[in-house]
Amino acid sequence: MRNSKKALVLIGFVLVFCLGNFLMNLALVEPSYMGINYRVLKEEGPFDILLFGTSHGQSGIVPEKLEQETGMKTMNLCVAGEYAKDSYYMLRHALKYQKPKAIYYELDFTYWLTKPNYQSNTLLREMPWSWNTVQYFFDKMGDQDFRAVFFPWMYTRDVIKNMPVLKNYVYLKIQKAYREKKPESLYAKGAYDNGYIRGGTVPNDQKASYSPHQWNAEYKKMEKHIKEMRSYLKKMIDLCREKGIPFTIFVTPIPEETFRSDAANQKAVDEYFKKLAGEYGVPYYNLNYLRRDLISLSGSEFQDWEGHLGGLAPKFSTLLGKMIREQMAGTWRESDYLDTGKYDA
Amino acid sequence: MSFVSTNFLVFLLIAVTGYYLIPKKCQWIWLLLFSYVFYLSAGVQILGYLLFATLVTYGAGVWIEKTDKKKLVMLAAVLLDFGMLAYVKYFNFAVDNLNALLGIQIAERNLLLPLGISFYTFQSIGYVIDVYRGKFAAEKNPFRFALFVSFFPQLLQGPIGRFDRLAGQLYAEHTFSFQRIERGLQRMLWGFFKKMILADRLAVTVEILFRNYTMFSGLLNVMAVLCYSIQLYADFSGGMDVVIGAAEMFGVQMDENFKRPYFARSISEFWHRWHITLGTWMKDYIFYPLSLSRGMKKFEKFAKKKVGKKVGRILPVCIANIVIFLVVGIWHGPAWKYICYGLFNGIIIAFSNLMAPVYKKGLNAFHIPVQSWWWKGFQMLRTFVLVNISWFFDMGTDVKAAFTMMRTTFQNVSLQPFRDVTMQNIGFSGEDFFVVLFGCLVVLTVSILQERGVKIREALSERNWFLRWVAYGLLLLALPLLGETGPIGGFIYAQF
Repeated sequence: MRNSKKALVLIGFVLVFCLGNFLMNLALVEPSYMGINYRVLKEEGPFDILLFGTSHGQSGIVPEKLEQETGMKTMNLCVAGEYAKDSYYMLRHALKYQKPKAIYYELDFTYWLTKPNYQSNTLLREMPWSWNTVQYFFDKMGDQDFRAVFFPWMYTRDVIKNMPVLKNYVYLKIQKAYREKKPESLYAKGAYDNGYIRGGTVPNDQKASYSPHQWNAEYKKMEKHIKEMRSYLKKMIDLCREKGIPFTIFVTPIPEETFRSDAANQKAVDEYFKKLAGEYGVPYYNLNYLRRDLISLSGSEFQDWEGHLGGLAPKFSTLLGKMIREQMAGTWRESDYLDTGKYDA
Repeated sequence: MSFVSTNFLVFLLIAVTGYYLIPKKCQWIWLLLFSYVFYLSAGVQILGYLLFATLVTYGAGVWIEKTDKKKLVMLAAVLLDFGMLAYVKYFNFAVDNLNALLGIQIAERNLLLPLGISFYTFQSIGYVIDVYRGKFAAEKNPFRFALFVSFFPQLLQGPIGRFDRLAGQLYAEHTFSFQRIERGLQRMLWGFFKKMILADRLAVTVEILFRNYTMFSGLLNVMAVLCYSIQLYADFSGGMDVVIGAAEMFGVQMDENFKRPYFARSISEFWHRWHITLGTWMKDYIFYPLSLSRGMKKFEKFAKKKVGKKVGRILPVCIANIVIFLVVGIWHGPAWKYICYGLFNGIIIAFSNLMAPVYKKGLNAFHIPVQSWWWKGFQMLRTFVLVNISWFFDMGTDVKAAFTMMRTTFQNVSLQPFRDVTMQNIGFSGEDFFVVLFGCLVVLTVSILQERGVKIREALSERNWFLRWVAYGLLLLALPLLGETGPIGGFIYAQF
């Protein structure tokens, strides 16, 4: 076969394959809210407070409530599957469009004892292209199985067995609102608020059982991963320091029942991160020690035993907003809000 | 840099593109550069070992040609290279055993096992011995020699190359050929198919069954070893396909390391089909020197006097085989189970050598048609069973676990675990079963065709281009559609 014909065959193959792959992604990959987050970050605001973190923050911090207390426009960029590496690149992306007055980082220690799964790749996939995205791509996807890059639908291929879900995915994605990355494409009114995604309260007897990861027992096995998390957290702090933006680490509360039954482990985790924050020179607040006269942390208020705040989110966010306001005004007193050590077993 | 990672594919793309764009006389330099970049991606601290092996064997090669003390120089180089390997790989094992034996307390050391050290050390030692034997002239250019040692596709898991076969290709000037790229990618795709659809699908189940062997018995142990059989072959040969395919894109034809090993009709034949380059290395550099040595000749004379001519002539061969496989076992790792693995193979081969005349008489006495399909089938099955027994040592946690698993295979023999939640608990679903079955059928079909002398790739290239590219597309589609989606482990043999 002549070379020109061979080249045409190759190009044809690549085009057909890309088209097929595009259709598979359209049908099998779950519609994502990350595109909405990135659009809001770019086009709305300006945001004075940016939050980064995990699913606990995503379902637990209502920007509207924070804004009511602080008077500062807030965007919640806490996302399920957001590891420190993701937060770092998201922060770099965010700083291209926003000049925040403060960054708050919601820390969930379980992310330090588990590695990211495929869902975490959505944070990269939905990020608009830029040099930052290219760096993020190689840093995040470089060591991953090449199929994660070329065939992201692989992880949700079982959707092919569920036609109603598949049809819904396609339907949602071809809607104008989704292509324009509007919240109403995926959420009912009020269920999305600048990154916050509302979760419900689940009765205790319907909550799935939960066994927390054990810090001391699993630390050695995950040492390399923990080292990486530390390095990206440090990069975030250094970047903020360079830009003159105050950076604070905090831990959202988990159900009291979970906390007490896991007291020794929670204490070990708290001591580790308190020390780490000290080393990095940033404030650290473990809100599991919130005074119980200010807020009840009974499990019945939460979405699950793990610590997603669910129906407690608005009240918690109001309290968090007060704390942030006072912290930024320099009038913060720890004893006004926290009873550290009181709730240890 | 794992072969299944995005980084590796990007790296390979840049390497191949640049290779054909730069002036041809600089191609080997480009390869050397990329080989070192590849190795450095694993960490600067392990580069020292590669450089050590390279410099020692290069220096020894050049010196051997200049000195009268050729044997001394060769032995010194061999000792230094082996010494380095022995130190990083076996120091702690030796210390543990000495401490246990003598009741002393020598401290272990925190030693990092450099990637690919077993492979490039053996490759380097082979070179030095060949120069000493006068098989070829030593390479005078240290950078060219460095390329031979560090050529990146083969660095992590072989095949163990020979200088006279590789050098000409590595340093040659290659013109771009679409066919070469296509064939290389084709081979890599086949390797990924075996790795992702077979090896990684079975990895979790194998791990659970072997690590928790006290909880399982009967047919589950059979399942464990059969699954490992498939996993190990698919992983190792799949890795070789990726290596050979990547090398092919640069116009370098590496030695094959597998030839349908499970079609072997004896353990001896198995080792001519499995990890071929390790086997030939052992044969050329240990077996022949040992069996033709003066000591062995003396022993042969002694043995002939004691046990008769026929047996006396075979005994040195038996001993040499046991020694080789002891070394093979040790090569696999610092653990008694690997030594048992090696000895198991060595003893069977030695026994077969010894009993060969008896077998022949028996076959004649019973008029067994040795060329019949059923007799060949029986031999293959027998060999497969013996190989699977050896896998108990290879994959078992230790020697005790291996023997326990073998023993408990005959306890609680029942089909019940295949009907209840046990399959779910060991991570083996119905989907896994069908995908693995499909994968095995594809690999078996290809293997049978190859065994019958059909050159699959040539046959494919003769096909209509449309059919060929549809085949590639289906193979590529199979990777995400049927492949394991959990975290993909590295290739098993990269740990050696």
